[in-house]
Amino acid sequence: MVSTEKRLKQYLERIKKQDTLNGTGKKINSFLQLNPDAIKQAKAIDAKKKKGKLAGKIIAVKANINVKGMNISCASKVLENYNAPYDATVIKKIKEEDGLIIGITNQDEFACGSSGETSAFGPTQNPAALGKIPGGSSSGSAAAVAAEFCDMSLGSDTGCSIRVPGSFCGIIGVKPTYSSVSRYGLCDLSMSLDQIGPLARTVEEAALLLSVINGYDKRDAISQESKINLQKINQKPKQLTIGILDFPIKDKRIQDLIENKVNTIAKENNFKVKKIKIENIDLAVSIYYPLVYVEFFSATRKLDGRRYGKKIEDAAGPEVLRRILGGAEITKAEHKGRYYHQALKAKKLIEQELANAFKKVDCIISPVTPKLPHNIGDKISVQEMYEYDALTIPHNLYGNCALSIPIGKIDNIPVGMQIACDRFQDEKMLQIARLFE
Amino acid sequence: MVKIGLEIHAYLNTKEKLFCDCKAEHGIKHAKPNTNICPICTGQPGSKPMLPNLEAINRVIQIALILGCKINSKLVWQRKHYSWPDLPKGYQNTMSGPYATENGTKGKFQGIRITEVHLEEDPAAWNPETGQIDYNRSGSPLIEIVTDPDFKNAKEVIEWMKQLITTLNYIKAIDKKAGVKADVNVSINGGKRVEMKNITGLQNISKALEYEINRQKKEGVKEQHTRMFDADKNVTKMMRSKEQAADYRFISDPDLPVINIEKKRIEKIEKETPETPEIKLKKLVKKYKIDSRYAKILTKKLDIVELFEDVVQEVHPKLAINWVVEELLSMLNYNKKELDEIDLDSQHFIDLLKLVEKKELTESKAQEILRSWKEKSESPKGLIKKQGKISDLKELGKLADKVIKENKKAVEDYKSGKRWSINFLIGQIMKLTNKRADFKIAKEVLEKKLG
Repeated sequence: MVSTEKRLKQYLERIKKQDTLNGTGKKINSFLQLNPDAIKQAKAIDAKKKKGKLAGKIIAVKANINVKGMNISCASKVLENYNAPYDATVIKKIKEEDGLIIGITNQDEFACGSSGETSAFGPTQNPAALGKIPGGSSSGSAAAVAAEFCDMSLGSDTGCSIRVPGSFCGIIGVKPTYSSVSRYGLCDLSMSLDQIGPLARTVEEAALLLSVINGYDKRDAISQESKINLQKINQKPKQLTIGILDFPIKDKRIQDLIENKVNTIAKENNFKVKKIKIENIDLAVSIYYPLVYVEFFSATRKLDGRRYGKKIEDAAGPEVLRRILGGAEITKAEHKGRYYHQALKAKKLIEQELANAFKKVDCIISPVTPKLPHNIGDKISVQEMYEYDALTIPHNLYGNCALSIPIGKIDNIPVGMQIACDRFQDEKMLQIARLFE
Repeated sequence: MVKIGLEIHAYLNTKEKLFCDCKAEHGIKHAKPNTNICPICTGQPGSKPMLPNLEAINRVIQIALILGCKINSKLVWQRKHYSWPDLPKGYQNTMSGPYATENGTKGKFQGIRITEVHLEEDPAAWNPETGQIDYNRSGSPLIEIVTDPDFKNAKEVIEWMKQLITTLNYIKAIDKKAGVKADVNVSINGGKRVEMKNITGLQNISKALEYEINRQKKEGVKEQHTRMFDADKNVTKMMRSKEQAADYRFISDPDLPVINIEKKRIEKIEKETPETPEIKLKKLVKKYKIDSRYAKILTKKLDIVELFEDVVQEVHPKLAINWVVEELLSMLNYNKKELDEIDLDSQHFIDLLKLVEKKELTESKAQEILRSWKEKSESPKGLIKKQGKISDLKELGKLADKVIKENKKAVEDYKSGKRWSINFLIGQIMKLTNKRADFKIAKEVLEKKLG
C-alpha cells in the first residue's frame, strides 16, 4: 500500500514550488487554503488497519463546498472570514472512505463565471496552456488536478463549471445526473441546476470518487438513490448508437477533431453513429440566465452582513452583482413571475427534447465549448463570455449526466469532448468515456 | 358597519422542527437559548432543507378538516423574501403567496368563513434591545388561519378565537401555551381596509380593535395601510402605506419537492382525529337530556365540556350540570379567570359533589370550598377533616375558659341576669373556631361554666 503521507508530501512540495497561495499571477494560483492538519490526518489514515475505498487518495475541494474548519469563501470577499462549521455530505462521505482533503481551491466568485477570472483572490492559470484561462467556475479544482497538485478534486457544475475547466485544462470533469449527488453543504448558485461532481486525470479515478459521493441523502430533500458499479465501467459496451450533436460550431477545427475521433472509435467497435438535432437548443442560454439570476438572488438574501461576513451587495464583484440585480428585477411583484415562470416552462421544453433524443441514441457527443479559451485578462463581452456555455447548459436544464474528456490539442491548447447520457445513466456514460481515453 | 377579518398564527404541536430534526422546543422556559439548532435552522451557507416534517403536515390537514376546509392535494413550497435580523435564510418558507396552493381552503368554523389554512416556518426570536438572537424558535412549524371579514365587533372576535383555540388545543393540534398571534384587518362602512400586524394575545387583540374602530369612526381611512399596536400606550400607529407594502418576491422553492396529498392520507387523518368538544357536547346534551339554556352556555364555553364529561360519569347529571355551569362558572367569572388559569384537579371537583350528594357537606359549605379554589384545588375530604364540627367537650371547655377570661363585661352581664349576653360569648367561640364549634354543645359548656 502506498503511503498517504508520502504522496501528500510529494504533492505539497509541488504546490509550494508552482502554486503560491493567493499568488502573484505568475504561478498557477489554484489553491486558496491548504489543510493545516493534512499530515496528521494522512498519518492517521496510514495507521488504520482497515482502510476505505479512497485511502491514499489526495483530494482538493472547491471553495464553495463546506469542509469543517476550512475557510469556505466561495472566492469572495463576502465570505472571506467564513469558516465552515460543518461538513458537506460529500465531504463526510470522502472522510468515511479515508480520502484526504489537501486544501480548498480557487474558483469564479460564487461560481459566477466561465473563465476562472472573477475570483476575488486573483485568476487561476491554466497549467496545460499557460496564459490562457483555465475555464470556470471550478478553475482551481481543474488546474490543481492538471498541474498534479492532487489526485482528484471536487467541483460544482450549474451550467458548465466542471466540464469547461475540465476541457481547457485537459482532464476529465464529470457533471453527474442532477439529484444523484447530495448538494447539502454546497453554497448555492442556482438550486434547480447545481450539482457537485469529480475532476480527475483518468475516467477510472473520476468514477471512483463519484461512486463514493453519490446516493440519497436525507439532508438534500430532492436527492435520489444512485449507484456506480466500478467493475462495469471497464467493460466495453457491445452495441451503441452514438449521436453527434448537430450544432453550428464556431471553430470548425474542434468539430472535425471530435467527429474524426468518434468515427474511428465507432468503426473499431462496430457502433452506429448518427447526427442528432435538438430543437430549441439555441434557446438554452437565454432560458438558463433568468433561472440563475432569480435563484441566485434568492440564495444570497442570507448574505446580508448580519451573520457571516459582509453584505454581498457591498463586497462582491461585478459578475455577482449583475446576477443579483438581474434576479431582483425579474422577481418584482409587478412582473407577476412572468419571466421566471416563462423560463421554467421553456426549460420543460428542452427537457422534453433531450428526453426524446435519448430514446434514439445512447449518448450525445459534442465539443464542450464551441471555441478555444481566451487569454487571461482579455476584455471580452458578456455575450462572448456566455457563449462558452452554449453546449453544456442544455444538460443542466434537463438534469442528465455529462462529462468532458480530453480528445487532442489545437494550437497546443487541450480540446475537450462532451459525452452526455440520459438521467441516471452515469455508469453507461463512464463506460463510453473509457473507450475514448 | 364594522368588518373584521383575522390572520391567526399558532404553533403546531410537533416534536421536531419543520425542515430539520432539531427539537421544536423554544421559549426561555423550555430550552436554553441556541441549544436546539443546526446548520439548517441557522441558515449556514450551503445548508439545505430536509423533507418537511410529516407530523406538521398531518396536523395542518387535521386542523383544516376541523375547520371544514377543502384539502388541496398538490403543494409547492414558496420562498417569501424579506430582510430582518430574525430571518437567517433571508426568506421564509411558506405555503402561501401568489403562486401557492394553500393546504386547505374555503372552510367554516362556528359561523365564520375560513378563507384558507396553511403551514409555514417561524423565524428566530430577536431581542431588539440586546441584539441577541435565539435560533431555537427558527424553523418551528406554524399554522396560519385566515378568515373572511365576517366579524362585526371585538367581542365576537375574542369569543370565536377562544372557541377556536380551545378546539385546536383539545385535539392537541396546537401548542396553546406557546401563545397565539394575529394580524387583524378592520374596515368600517365599506371604507378602506387597515391591517394591524402581529398582535399577541386575546386581550391585546381586543384592545387594539376597540381603539382602531373608534379611531376609524373619528378620523376615517383615506387609503389602505398597515398599522401596529402599541400595547403599553394602548394605541395603534401607522406602520406603512400601501405604496410602501413589502415586495416579498415570491418564488417556488427549488430545494423542496412538490408534495402530493393522497386521498387515503386525508381519510386516515380524519379517522384518527379526536372528537371536537363541539361534537362531544352535542352527544352529552342528548344523552343526559341537558336543558337548552345550559347547553347554550356550554357551547360558548367549550373548555368546560371535558370537565363536565368527567364529572357526569360519577355524579347525578342534574347536580353535575348545575355545579359546572352555575357554581364553577360564577366562581371563574368572579375571579375573571379561565378554567385553564386555575389549577383545578377534576377529581377534587368530583369528590366535592359526591360529598354534597351524600349530604356530608351542605351546599353552602361546598360553595365556600369551591370559592377557595381560585388558585388551586385541594382535596375536599382533607378540607372537611380540617373543617368538621367541633363537639369535643374538652376542647370546647378550653375555648369557653378563654372566652370567659377575655370578655369580663359579658360575663358580668350574664351573671347579673342579662341571659342573652351568652350569645355574644358563643359568637366569640365561633370566631375562634372559624364557625366549626357545635352551637348546642358550646352553649351547654358555657352555661355550665358560668354556673
